[in-house]
Amino acid sequence: MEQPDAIIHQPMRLKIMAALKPMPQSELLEFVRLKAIAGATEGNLGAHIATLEEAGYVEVEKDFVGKKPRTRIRLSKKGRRAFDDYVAYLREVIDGAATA
Amino acid sequence: MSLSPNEAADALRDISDTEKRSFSAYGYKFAAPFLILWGLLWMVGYGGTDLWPAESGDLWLAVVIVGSVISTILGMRAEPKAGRRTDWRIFATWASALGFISSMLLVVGKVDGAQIGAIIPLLLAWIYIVMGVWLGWRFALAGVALGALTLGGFFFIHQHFLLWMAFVGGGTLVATGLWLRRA
Repeated sequence: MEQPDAIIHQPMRLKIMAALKPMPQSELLEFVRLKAIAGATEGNLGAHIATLEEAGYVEVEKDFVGKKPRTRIRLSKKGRRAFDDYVAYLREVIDGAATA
Repeated sequence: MSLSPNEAADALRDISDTEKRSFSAYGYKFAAPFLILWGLLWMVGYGGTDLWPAESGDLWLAVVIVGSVISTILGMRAEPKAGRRTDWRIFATWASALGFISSMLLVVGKVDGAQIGAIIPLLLAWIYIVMGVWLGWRFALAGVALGALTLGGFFFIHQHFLLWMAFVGGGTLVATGLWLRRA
């Protein structure tokens, strides 16, 4: 990979992807939990999730628990692949420097 | 747009830290209902043993059967819908735990009710501490608290140890479950 994925490259989006990665494929992570794990503010997190959703990297499900709205997110297959590629890119950068 | 090796290393560290936090949060969410369930069952088991000591064998048998069945159901429900392939592992985990505890008690020989009532929670406390080392510090804290309360009750409140374990031991499990659910 010549260039890193511009969408994942942003630090908060990278954290979002990293937080979703350990979850089982079909498991959804609640917005509030993701906010705590990523250490993000609500508005910031929402904007970055929208960007990732547009890219097809995450899937967002919205529903209600009683009268309370709930937003849950999971990594898509495309997102998983993109994240793995990005991690591979980071390792290449480090390995490249070590062998240079 | 390119990264220096130092920036790449920092990014990998960030990824690793975030993945660990996420993994812990998932473990807490998974474990919480089991802790609440077994906390309530301890209250029934220890409280009932204190009230009706002659019936303690049947009571604990019922508690263990009910707990194992509900735990298996909880485990199956917690599994992601697309990959419910580990049902037998949940059952095997409970069966092996029961087998181990029964074998241990057979080998140890004659022990009184308070000793059995202390050994099993101490074993559980150790398991939580090990889980805490690998999965998330909240498990370790719960294990240390459970172990300390069990030992404290056994040595210093021996006469009322079963009641102590019903309310303090069971209460600790329920409180820990609620705490993990909000983690």
